[in-house]
Amino acid sequence: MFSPWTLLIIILVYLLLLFSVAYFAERKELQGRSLVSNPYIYSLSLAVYCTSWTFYGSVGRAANSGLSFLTTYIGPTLMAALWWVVLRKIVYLSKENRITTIADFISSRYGKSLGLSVLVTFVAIIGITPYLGLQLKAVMTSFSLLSGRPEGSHFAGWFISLLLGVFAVIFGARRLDASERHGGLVFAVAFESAFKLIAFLLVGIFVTYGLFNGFGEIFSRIKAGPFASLMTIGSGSPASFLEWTSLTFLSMMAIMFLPRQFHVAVVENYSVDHIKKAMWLFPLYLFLINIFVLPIAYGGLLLGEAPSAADYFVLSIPMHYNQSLLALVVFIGGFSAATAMIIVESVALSTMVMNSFVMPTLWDLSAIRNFHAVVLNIKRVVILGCVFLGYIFAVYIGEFYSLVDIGLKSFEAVTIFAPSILLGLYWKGGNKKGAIAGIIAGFSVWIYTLLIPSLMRAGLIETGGLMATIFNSTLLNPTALFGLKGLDRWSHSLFWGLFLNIGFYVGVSIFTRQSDAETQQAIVFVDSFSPLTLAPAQRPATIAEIEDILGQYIGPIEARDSIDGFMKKNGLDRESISREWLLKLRQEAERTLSGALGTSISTLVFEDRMVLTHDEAMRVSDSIQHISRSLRLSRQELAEANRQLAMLKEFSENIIESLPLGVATLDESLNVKYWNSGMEMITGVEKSDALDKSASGLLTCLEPRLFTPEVHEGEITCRRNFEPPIILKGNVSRLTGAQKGYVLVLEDITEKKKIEEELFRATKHASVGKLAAGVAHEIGNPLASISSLVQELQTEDLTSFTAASLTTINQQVHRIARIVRNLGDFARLYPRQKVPTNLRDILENTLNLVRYDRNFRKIEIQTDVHDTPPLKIDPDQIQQVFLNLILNARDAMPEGGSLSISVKQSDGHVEMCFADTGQGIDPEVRDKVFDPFFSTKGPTKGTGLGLSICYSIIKDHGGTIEIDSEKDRGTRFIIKMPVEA
Amino acid sequence: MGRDVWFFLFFIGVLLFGWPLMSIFLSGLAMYLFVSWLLFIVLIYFATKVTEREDGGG
Repeated sequence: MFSPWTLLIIILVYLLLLFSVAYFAERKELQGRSLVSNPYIYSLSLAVYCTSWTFYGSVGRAANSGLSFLTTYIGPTLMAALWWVVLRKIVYLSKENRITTIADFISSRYGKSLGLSVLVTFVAIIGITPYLGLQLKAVMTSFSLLSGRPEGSHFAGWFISLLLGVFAVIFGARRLDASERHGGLVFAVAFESAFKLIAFLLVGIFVTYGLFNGFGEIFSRIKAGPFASLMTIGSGSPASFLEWTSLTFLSMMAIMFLPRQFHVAVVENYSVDHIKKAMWLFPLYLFLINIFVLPIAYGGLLLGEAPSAADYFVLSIPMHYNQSLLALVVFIGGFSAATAMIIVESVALSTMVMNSFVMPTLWDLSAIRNFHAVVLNIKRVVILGCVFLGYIFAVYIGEFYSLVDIGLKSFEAVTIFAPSILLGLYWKGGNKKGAIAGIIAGFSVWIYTLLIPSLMRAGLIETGGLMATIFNSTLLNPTALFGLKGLDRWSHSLFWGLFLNIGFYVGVSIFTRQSDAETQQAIVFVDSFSPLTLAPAQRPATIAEIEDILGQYIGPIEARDSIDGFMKKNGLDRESISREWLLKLRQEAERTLSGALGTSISTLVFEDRMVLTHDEAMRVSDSIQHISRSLRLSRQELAEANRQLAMLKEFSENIIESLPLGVATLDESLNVKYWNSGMEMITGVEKSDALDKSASGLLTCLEPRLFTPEVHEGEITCRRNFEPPIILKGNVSRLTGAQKGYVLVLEDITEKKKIEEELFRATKHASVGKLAAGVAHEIGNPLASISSLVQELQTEDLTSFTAASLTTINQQVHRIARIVRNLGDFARLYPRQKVPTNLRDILENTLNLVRYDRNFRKIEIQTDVHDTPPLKIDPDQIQQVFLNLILNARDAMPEGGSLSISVKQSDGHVEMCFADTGQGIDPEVRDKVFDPFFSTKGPTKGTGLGLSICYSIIKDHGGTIEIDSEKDRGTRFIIKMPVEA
Repeated sequence: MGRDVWFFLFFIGVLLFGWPLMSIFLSGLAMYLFVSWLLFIVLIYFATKVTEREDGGG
């Protein structure tokens, strides 16, 4: 009727249409206008249950086994009545525990066991592969029927499998989504469900009313013919009541535990509310899609078609009557049914494989680059693998079985999960070991009673030898296990499977212990769910809804600002926000609200669990807005206080830094915590070098004994790194307040001390000077009288003795006069005049005076006289100073030595240095050498006034004289005289 | 009403589609099954409406 390429193109176009539909739905979701979040789409998506088995196989079964095909749909209808109790609980638990597959659900229930997840995934893959194969078989067969080219069906099947695999990847693995939500896919499945229903109704109407005169004619003709047994159940019919019951039960389990059903019903569920509507909408769909099954099946038989070809009556009948368009619609309908199942099932299975096998294996590699891309690509490969596994089954085994047969095997397989899930939801005693034992037992029965016989029938397992012996035995016959006969194979497999499954599950659970994790999860799964508190589960909400909810409690403007801020921060656009960011926005909104209401309440608010009256909501809103305003004000005040505190801190720091004193704070361990610039100047230690260092390490004089609870104040002499010792006046006190430690305040009083000493000396000089002046004056007069009398007596005629005595008296009088003159000099009895004089000349004159002194013969005199400007000085006085220093040097070197005299200009001064290599002066007396009447030469050798006079003269000239001497290492006198401008 | 209504409904369904009642209507079993099926769906519908009106949940 259609060429293969035409059909392939049509298939491609239809898939593209599906993709467009999915893309459209996803775009709408991104814009916050979800098409998927409603109960009608939810119910239609559940209709993925109706696969090509429904489309083709139901008619086939009806034509061969009568009414038993209805069990496939009545079972889910019965189960739907319990959805509000069972499915709702499963959905709630899955949302709470972030469960995305049935394997995760079982694993989570039993202590989050990875091993159990792996086992369930393995069973699911083996069990569902036939179901996938069933779809591909249906597509291949319908393709070859419509194209009239059976020989091309394998190639077509391969190509279609590839195409479906690729589209499954496009639909389900474009990106990794932690929530495993695929809104576009769900919408596409709903679209397909609608299409296949319409297609089936069309062909049903055609057969019932186009070829016959309605239900009445068909049923009455069948009743009257050889196929009357198809209209009943029980004795005389192909199906027994036991089989009816078993198949109904299997279907009830299938609607809950087929991986694709779990995915659309649980994982893709937007709101628990939708379940309420789906409870009657979905059974209604099943009812509608089955209305015409019997008429088509019976009609085909009445038209003479063979019962063995009944699977494809829906296609063959329109083709027979040249209804090409209808046939095409039916083909697409059947293709639609298969496609939806393949895509959803392969996505669900791939998620299970990823969660159970791949991610646990690759988790250690999560740090590698592009890990995300690696995982996504693996998922895509797994999806393709699942599809091709189904293809292999369809090609090598599928031909031996009808569609329904293949499908029922999968139903039996997923029933294996029923005890561990259903009992696990209501019995806390079930544990991991029990679940594993039950699943393994059930799976073993399934393999032995259903899979192996089909593999044998397909020729893939040898039927002879040991296998034949085992299979024909009484106990181990796959169709009569342990001698139980009389059951159809579905009932038989179901009975033994459930018996051993439940037996092992309950038995092992009772006799083994639960781990703490299992106990905890049992409580979570069995007890935490309470219908009384249950309300609609989390739904993603749109931006408008989030803003609206937030606005009710914090004010609309604040809500808008909050959301705008979030959008701006993350570079988002309100019109095109992804689901992932929408969830994050909701979480952010919950966090914002939790600041005012608390986490639990804010969660409840967003989950619509908070049931407040309008007035209560308004009062809460007012309170929150008042709190927000107060908080804003408090924040402003706090900011202002912070600012002022910062200013005050800066001001205080500036004061301390500006002080001419050294201020430092130390902690209890005497480590420096603060060191101002004054301390830097005084100590020469930079702040950066001082902080956190021990104080005594920086200045040795800061000994620990100074830092006691009592305040210490006093003077200490400190050594610095680069200068002569300094004298510091310090104050050490305890820090009061929370921070313990010490405050150290230091003042450099070295200069002050020097000035005080100078003053003291000057005062002493002045006092002594006054005394000397008085003594000189009192002695001078009598001396003059004595001297003149002696001179008169010397002119008389005297005896030699008298003459000698008078000479001696005269000498002593001169000596006394010299002393008086020195005293007079000291007291400045003889005023002097200062004139500009060259020091070189004075020095030369002085050296000329002493050069010929025999005591200077052993002394080497070295001079280093630089050109200096003339100084306004009293030349005689300065010469006196030079003479005193040179004579002192001579006296200090009785055995000889050297005397170095240097004169140079330096820093606005003329510096003169007299350095000898004599005995030196003891440190104890060094400071006293300039004191009047102090002498180191003994009482008969000098008056002790020489250096005092030098000191006074130099001071009088505005200069300074210092001594630097060490015992046995010579003495150096340094005179500095200012150069007058 | 709580979850009791659903268990009751389920029980009704098991009866409706179980051997005892089905065997009574063997002569017109197809009709019985479809009518019962539709009736059961309607019962579910009404039960959901009633429970929604009462307390919004099961």
